[in-house]
Formats: sequence, C-alpha cells, structure tokens
Amino acid sequence: MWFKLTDVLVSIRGLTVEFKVPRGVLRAVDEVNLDIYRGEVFGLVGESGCGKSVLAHALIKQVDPNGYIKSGKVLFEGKDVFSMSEEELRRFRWKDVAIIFQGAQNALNPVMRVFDHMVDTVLDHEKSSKQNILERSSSLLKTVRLDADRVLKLYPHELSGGMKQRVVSAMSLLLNPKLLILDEPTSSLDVLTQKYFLRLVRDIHEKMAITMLFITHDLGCIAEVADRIAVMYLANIIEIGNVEEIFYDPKHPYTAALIKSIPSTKGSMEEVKPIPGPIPDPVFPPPGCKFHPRCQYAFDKCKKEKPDLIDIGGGRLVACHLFSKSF
Amino acid sequence: MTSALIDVKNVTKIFSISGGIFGKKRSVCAVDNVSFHINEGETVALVGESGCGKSTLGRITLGILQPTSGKILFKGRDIWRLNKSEFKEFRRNAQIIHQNPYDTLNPMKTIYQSLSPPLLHYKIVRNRRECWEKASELLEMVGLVPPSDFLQRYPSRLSGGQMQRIAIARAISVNPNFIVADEAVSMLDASLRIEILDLLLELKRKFNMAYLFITHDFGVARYFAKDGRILVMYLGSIVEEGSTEDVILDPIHPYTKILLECVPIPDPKIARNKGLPRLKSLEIPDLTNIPSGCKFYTRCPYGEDICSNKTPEFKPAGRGRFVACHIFS
Repeated sequence: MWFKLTDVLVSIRGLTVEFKVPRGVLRAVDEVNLDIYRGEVFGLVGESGCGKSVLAHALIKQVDPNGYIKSGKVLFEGKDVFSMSEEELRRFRWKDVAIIFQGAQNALNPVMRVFDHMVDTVLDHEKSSKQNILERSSSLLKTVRLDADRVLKLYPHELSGGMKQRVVSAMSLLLNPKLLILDEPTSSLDVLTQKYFLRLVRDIHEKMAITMLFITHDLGCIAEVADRIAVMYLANIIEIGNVEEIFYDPKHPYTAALIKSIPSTKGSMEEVKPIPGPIPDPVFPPPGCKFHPRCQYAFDKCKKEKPDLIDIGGGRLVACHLFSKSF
Repeated sequence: MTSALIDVKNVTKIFSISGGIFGKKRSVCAVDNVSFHINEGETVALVGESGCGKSTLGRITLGILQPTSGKILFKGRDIWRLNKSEFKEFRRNAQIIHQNPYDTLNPMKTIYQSLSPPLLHYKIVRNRRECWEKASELLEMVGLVPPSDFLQRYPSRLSGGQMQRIAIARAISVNPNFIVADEAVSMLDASLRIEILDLLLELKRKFNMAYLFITHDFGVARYFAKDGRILVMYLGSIVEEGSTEDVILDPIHPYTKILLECVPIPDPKIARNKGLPRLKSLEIPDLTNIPSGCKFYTRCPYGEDICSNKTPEFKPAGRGRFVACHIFS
C-alpha cells in the first residue's frame, strides 16, 4: 500500500441497526466498530443477510422504513453524521460520500440523455455552468474508458449493461466525493464485463486516490480490488486484516472455512470443504458467539459469551475466544 | 456399443419476439444446431453466461420445451414420437431442479403436500401410509432430520438451503435416471453450496443418475463435474466440449480461454497479477441480430476474415475434445 494507515476518514463505533419483523426484532448490524482510512479500498465481505448493505447505508444515515439505528456513532472526518441537519446530510450524501448500488444502472432516467444526467447531478448539489459540467463529465467518462463525445448524447437504452455501469460510476465521481461506496456493483454484470469493471475500480482508485468501500459476497472480486477486508457474519464484524492476511492466513474459523468452501478454477478440488450446519435465523441468533454451532473449534465459553473484536497485533482484529487473552 | 441415455441431435430453438405496435416481429435463435449426448450415470456441465441459451437447452432435453428443429432421443427413441404413456414414463425418468427454491414449492402447501402428488401419480407408492413413509425416507436422504419436523411445515418456515434440499427430494422421489440441475446452487450462500453439491453427488452414486448441470460458474462446474465433461455455450452454440479438467486447465476456444481468465479467483496474488484479456469489444451482439460467420468474431482477439464469413464447424480436436473455431482446433 502506498498510503499510511494513519488518517482515518470514517470511524464507526458501536453501530447497531435493527428491523421490526413479524417474528420479532432483527438485528442486522450488531455493535460494529470499524475504521476506514483515507485512500484505501476497504472491502466488506459476507454472505447474503450478514448486514453488510445495511451497514453501508447506515453510514450515510439511510435505513429502510421498517428499520432504525438503535445506537452508535459514525464520524466522517471527525463530523458526527447522525447529528447532521437535513441540509448538512443532503450535502454530505453525494458530495462527501457517493454510492453505487446494485442495479444502479437501472435507475437511469430513460428520457434523459447521459449529459442531462450529469447536469442534473451537479446542479442538484452546487452551482456550475454547462460548459464546466461538460468538461468534468467528459474527463470522467474518459477515466471510465468511454467515448465521451458519443456517450454524452446517448439515452440509457442505447447503452449496454456494462456501459451503463460505467456511466453511473462516472456520475458518482462528478462531485469529487471523498468516499465512494460500491454495493455489490458487479452482481448483474456478466463475467467478462465484471472483470473489466473491477480493473476500472482499481484504475479509478489509482488515478483519483479516492477512498472506497467495496461491498460484496464474492471472495474472488474482493481478492482483486481490496487493500483491507472486514468479514461479516450475522451482523457482526468477525475479522479485519489486509487482503493477503485474510486469504493466506485467516484467523477466524469462519473466515478460514468460508475461503475453503469456494470451489475455484485454480487449485485442488480436494481441499474444498463445506461449512456444516444451517445459517441461523437472524431474529433468534445463537447465544454467545453466533458462529459456535458451526465451528469445529467451539468450546464452552463460545456458547455463553460473545467474543469482542480485539486487536491481536499488526492491525489484525479478530472476534474469537481462541484469541482472547484469558484463553 | 450402448446408445447414450440422452442424445441431443441438431437441436435448434427459435423464439419470435413481437416488436410492439409499430415494430416488426423479430426472432431470437436461442439454441443453434446443438448436438451432444449424455451417457448413463454421466455428469455433463453446461457452462455459459446468462442469456447464452443454456436454460432453454436444458428444458428441451427434458421435453418441457419442444425444439423448432432437431431431435431429443431418450434411450434411442425420439421423445416427441412417444405415445402418451411412454412420454409419461420419460418425464418420470427426467426431472429438473430449478435455481430458485422459492419458486419450486407452492407456499400454500405443506412439504408433505408438495412431495406426495408425484409419488401417487407415478404409482411409486400404493397408498397414503406408504406415501408418508416414502416422503420421510426422502427427507432423510437429503439430510432433513427428523423428517416429522419438516413434513407438516410450510415453505415460508424454511431456509433457502432447506428448500433446495426438498426440491432435490422431490426430483429424486420418482426414481429418475436423468436430472437437469439448472443453476441449482446459484441462489444459495457460498458456504452452503458445497453441501448441496455433495448431496447431489452422493445421490448420483447411489442411484447411478446422469446429470446435466447448468451453471455460469466455472468453479462450481469444475467441482461437480470433476469426473465428467464440460460443454461451453455462447449465444446459442456449443463452442467447446471436453473432459472437465481438460477444458478448464487447457482451454482451446478463445471464448473459453477468455472466460476462464476473467473468472474472479479468491486468491489476491493470482487475481491481481492477471492482465486484462484482449477482447476486441465488450459488447455482446444483439440476440435478434447475430452476425454471420462465427458468433464470437466481433469480440475475438484472434479473429480473421474467414471467421466473419464462415460459421466454424464443431469438430473433434483429439482426446474426446471438440471445438468450433477456424483458428484453434
């Protein structure tokens, strides 16, 4: 990494987000502590339902109607996001933080040309001239490897899925956000387009030195783009480390088991092993460590006490009793 | 020489799409002159990206969809020439497991109510008591124990993984010898996939079933069909065929090569060192306006004149391998 891990851009402490569902209360994010450093690509990985999307949206104080932020703090460059006024929040979202979400390309307005989308996006947040917007959007479309002269005049239906995804990416960068959140950005793309998009993400990161939060369930994608990774399981962050540490030396049993359970086109098929047992009901999670029913290393303490996410040295954090001092 | 269990002969399927009030009717060739066979007890993986026609082809092999031209032979007999009772027997023998377990099961019926109809329809059991026993046996076979916990439940009370096990139970309940698994694990969480794949493999060993395993995921195809064959499909055509390890470790067709290069690998050193493949274009041709000659020509980095003029033949390339390419064969 070419940046130093000293400058914290986003600091999350004790964040808890819950939803009211017919069966009871679903805790989607459970007392999460996380720091994202300026300039890094931070990967948030976990299976469906682990809470990663909810966490990302809560970062910009966005929660679904039947959900609520129960507790916690999000500091962005030291500013408390949850105590921002409506106006401050509006400016914060998109100017400080931009988000590319799953299926964003389908949110493009079919009766507006690409250039009109750009104009709208900018003028919604700041004063500018059409000429200035033209220059900025052309430059950004070039960054995302699109032919600006041609694409600016087109309507969304004239663009392929891959092109739309790039247009949306360029739009997200128009206001020079400090943080770009990408929420499962490749899930609707075909394999070839996905590969080019991941390369594009790295290019944008290198050229613009923009901090990114990349959310996905796909370990292959995260291996390609992330500098540091947090692994989420049933609403908790259970491990944080840099990308090589996570893949080559995972500490948490879930991380290790997850990596081993993915069949790949490289490596031996003999080493692929399933993670036993069903994924628990998030409304009624197991007591103690939520992973203990499926963990081959579980012992007594794991069934009673939930492990904290602790620093085991070198920036590695793990939430597992195997690593707690009193073990 | 025993004939294949399933023989797909020059199957083509054309769909017409209405162009709306002012548009012309257009046609989409979803499956284009495809031929292959599956032997008894064999696993064949059909791999391709979404929209390549693999699901349509899967449905055609089961007799759910009728081809526009070409034949499907089951144990040597044309399935569309069978009489009513013979066709019923064929459909008993050829079952499907869908991608979405939430679509497969009727939410208004209990698990028992979903499992019993085929058992009774195909006379696998003689009465209600035997039906209940058989349903319990099936649930045990797919790892849902104790069965009594599940038989009276409604699908809404089950997880995706559990529902997919029930879909599998239903598919094997009528003792088929051929199963089409259409993206059967794609909607399941990664950590559950191997368990379900292992279950399908165990059932295959037990009952000597043949599988047509349809997927877009090469890693999953490699795991499931490790002792079988892979067919690679692009825009309605099979472009490459061979044993699983051969195709994955030593691909011949440019599309297969590029596809394998682009598959995300959960290994940072490998993932970050691979360069971008040299694709001429990222754009997939419009399905209603497929170019003449080789369909991959518009994107292929190796394409030459002959490729845009002449459709390549699907030819043997040694060691049971087949490729449709003018440049590499």
